[in-house]
Amino acid sequence: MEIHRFEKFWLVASLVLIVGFIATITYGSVAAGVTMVSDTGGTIQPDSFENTGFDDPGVRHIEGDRYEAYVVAQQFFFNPGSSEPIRVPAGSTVTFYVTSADVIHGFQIVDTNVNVMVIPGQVSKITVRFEEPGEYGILCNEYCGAGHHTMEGQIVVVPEDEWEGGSQ
Amino acid sequence: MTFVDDYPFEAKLIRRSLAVAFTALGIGGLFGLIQALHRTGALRVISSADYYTVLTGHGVLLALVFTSFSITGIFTWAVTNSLGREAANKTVSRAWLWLMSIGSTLTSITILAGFVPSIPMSADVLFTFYPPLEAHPLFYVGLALFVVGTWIAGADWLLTYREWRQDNPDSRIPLQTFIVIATMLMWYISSIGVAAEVLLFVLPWSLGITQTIDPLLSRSLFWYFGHAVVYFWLMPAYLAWYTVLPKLSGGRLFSDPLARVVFVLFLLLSTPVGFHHQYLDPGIAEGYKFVAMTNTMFLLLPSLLTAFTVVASVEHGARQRGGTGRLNWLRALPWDNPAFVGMALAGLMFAAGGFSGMVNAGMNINYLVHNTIWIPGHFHLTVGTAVALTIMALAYWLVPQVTGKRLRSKTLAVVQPYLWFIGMTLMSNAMHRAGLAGVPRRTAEPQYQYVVFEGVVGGISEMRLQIAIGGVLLFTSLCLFLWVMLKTWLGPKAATIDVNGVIPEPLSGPEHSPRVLDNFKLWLGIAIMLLILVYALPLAGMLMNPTPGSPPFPM
Amino acid sequence: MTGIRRRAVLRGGAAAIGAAGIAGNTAAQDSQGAARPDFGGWLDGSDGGYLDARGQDEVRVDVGAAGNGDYYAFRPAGIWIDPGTTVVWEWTGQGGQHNVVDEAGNFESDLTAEEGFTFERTFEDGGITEYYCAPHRALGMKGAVAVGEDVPTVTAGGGGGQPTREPYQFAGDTFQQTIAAVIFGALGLGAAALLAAEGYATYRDRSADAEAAAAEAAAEAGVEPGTVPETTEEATETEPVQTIEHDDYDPFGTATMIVVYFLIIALMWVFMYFVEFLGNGPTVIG
Repeated sequence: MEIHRFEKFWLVASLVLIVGFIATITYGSVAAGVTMVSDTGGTIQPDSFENTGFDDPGVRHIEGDRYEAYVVAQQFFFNPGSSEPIRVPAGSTVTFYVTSADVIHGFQIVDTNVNVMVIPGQVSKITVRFEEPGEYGILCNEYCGAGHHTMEGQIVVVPEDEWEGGSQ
Repeated sequence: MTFVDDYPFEAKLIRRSLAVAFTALGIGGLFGLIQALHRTGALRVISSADYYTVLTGHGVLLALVFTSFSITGIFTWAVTNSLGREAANKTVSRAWLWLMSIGSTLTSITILAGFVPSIPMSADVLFTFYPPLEAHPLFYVGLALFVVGTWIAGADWLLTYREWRQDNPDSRIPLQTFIVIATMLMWYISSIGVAAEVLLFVLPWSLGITQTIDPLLSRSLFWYFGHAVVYFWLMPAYLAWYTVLPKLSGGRLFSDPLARVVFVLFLLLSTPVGFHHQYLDPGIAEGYKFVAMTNTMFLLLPSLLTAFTVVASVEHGARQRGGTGRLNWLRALPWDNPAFVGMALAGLMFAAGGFSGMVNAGMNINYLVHNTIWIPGHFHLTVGTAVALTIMALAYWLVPQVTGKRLRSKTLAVVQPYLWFIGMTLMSNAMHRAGLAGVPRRTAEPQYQYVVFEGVVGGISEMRLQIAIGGVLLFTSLCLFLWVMLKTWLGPKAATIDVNGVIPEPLSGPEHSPRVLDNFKLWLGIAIMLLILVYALPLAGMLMNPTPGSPPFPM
Repeated sequence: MTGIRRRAVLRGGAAAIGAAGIAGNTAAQDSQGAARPDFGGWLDGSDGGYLDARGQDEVRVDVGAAGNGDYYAFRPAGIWIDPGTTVVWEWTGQGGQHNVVDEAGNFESDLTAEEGFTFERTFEDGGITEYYCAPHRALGMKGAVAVGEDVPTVTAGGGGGQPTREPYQFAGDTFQQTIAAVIFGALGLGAAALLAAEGYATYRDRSADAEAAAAEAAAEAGVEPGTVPETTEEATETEPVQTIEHDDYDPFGTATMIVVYFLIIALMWVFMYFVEFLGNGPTVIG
């Protein structure tokens, strides 16, 4: 098949570019440790959270610098997050378990790379490290109904010695 | 003799297709203007709850109705023109036009009824209609009829091709028909996903036959289809760039063989990439997402190759028109020909849209941009300009040939693509930057109490301003286009038109490519195999380990 | 099932539904011109109306009444009662989960979507109590109870129904608003002028233009002017200034542009990935 030599050169350059992209992504996974949300959270009955961590949503200390945060997303608020902020201490590794009580939502901590889909019947399990104190907004970025644009919350990373347990 | 005299039935089909397409374009475009002004806060004439009705209408009318009816018009022309024969079966032709029209009208009515509270029917579920959001059952019925209509359209062109093949057993498939066949085969294997989602799951659930639905499975079936559909939209634009743009530039297609390779690659790779729309979904293992990522990255290849071949063809035309120099030949191009300008600017914008697509394809960098307004920024460059502007540009060249009427208001026609380009540059760059700051998409009022958006370059107010102004410029450009079309359509049949429909031979013809490229049975087989490799395990996993079902939430 | 349409009947109809729903309450609706408690802006922008329920032992308030875009309202939202009156909140089952939360923190109901669920409170002390529904507060689902005669009042001017919303401030400061107005204004005028000129030109030249074009085309095609042509001829192909064949052609311009494109993409990718993405704060690491 006849291919002009310029186009052959471009073919090689394109493949280099593509492999470069794949390599960067792989670097992100392997070296920088960025992990995709997957099926590790398991499934859940969307209409009944009895005897799961979601019947009492909030932040719990596990041990050392590890914490767990159970968040329920529903139309149109995050529990916790909306009526009271989620509080975690600085220097902590927090595993979020997020599920939906009704339709598909999004859970995005703005100004960070924490961004997951929240699907009823599924638990989105992600682990995040918070080093520095700060305040971040949370919003729902997947259309979930007429009040979608009001669905927001807050997460506050408090200095280590100020954290008093739970999401007060 | 023009096309309309040689093929009156086909010309009528094309005119009707394009009429539906442009009507949908007009209404959908108006909705887009309302959205741009509403979400930036510039002007709110509807309630924010109604915003989602408008958004559903914008998505369905533009991304489904406008695109598909443009495709049926363009492909009918391409097959008839390149094979030099009439449709094999006129009943089949009429059937797809009717079925697609009825289906899209039904769905549109359910959406528009959402504006009238006293009508107990609405479909505020957006273009993606993710369960457990639930629309009126007729919304889904309309979609199903519409998709079946597109299948019949494909059959129409394949039947015509088969007749031609019987008369020409040894010839290579003419390039335009080759493109149509590749596109439709890709459409068949991908649309089966959304057809299954709607007919097996969503429709029975919305009728109350089943009580719950698996939201993850539904999403996955939708996105099995959802990426291929963007290529379904893109390929007609590529058809224009490969076969018509070189002629408008005054030259010839640089390489027919490479064009064939590109479309075979699209057939193979467009569908087994769907999980890249679900990188942030729970319930799907990271391994499947990784494979989708590598496939998507390789799907960049045909587009990158297209960039070279198309620009080389345009350069050829410029030089044949007397252009010289390393880059000076650009001036020799017909920048006063609206069809040329639209396609050239569309291609340029696609190069930028391709970059944001590369970012979207990146599995982990997706955390940065998913569901932010970066995503609409990306697809307004690709489907919103590369496809839409090319269709409008092609219309300036094609409509005179299928009506036998001269193009009217030529000044407006020339201004239109430039205006579109400027408007889209403003709107899209602001959308990309706002998305990086975290501003969400599909949101009526992205102004929050606790959430503060900080721009990377520039402030949020200035981004809102650009989106609003860009939207207004785009709508103005759209009005110019519709005006030109209307005036042309309503004008008198002319003795001569000022376009010429002859497509010159390529510089490097199909005789320089291996015959295996034309062996669609082989490529279809490989495509299906790839699909099974990529989707069988995850889908089987979802069926055997289902997500507990959800009841409907009527919208 | 799907028969239930959640789409709210908007304000005008909602008042009628609300009226029908409040069975057992007095017929007194929004009385225009009479004094009513001054809720201090708490209920601005909230649907649900107002009821003067003084003289009743018990007042029912619907939770999840039509309003605020869907079924996100208390109806009646504002009430005036005597001390010792019991307010019974009754859930309609519409609009998802609701609760009744006192702004001052003295009482809070369960959060539920159950139709027929009730929560009640007897108000002994005078004053104004503000309350809200937690998930829908931002949408305007608020209510207020004024107890006794000793509350600040205001004379109700307009009728019930249309809430006022704060007009949203677009694009920051006055300077930007002026720029926006100038640009929009100029564009609008320009577009209008273009179309007007086109329309006028068409109208003025219509007969002349069509005749001239038809005559010219007819002359070209060699037919009688004034007839509708049976067939249409295409324009002739333009001849190239110089013909370039396959073997003489090397697309140097394209090659240059594509190299530049490659470099831009590679640089932008590095920026996006390493600066924007990896530099973006807390990331999902597990």
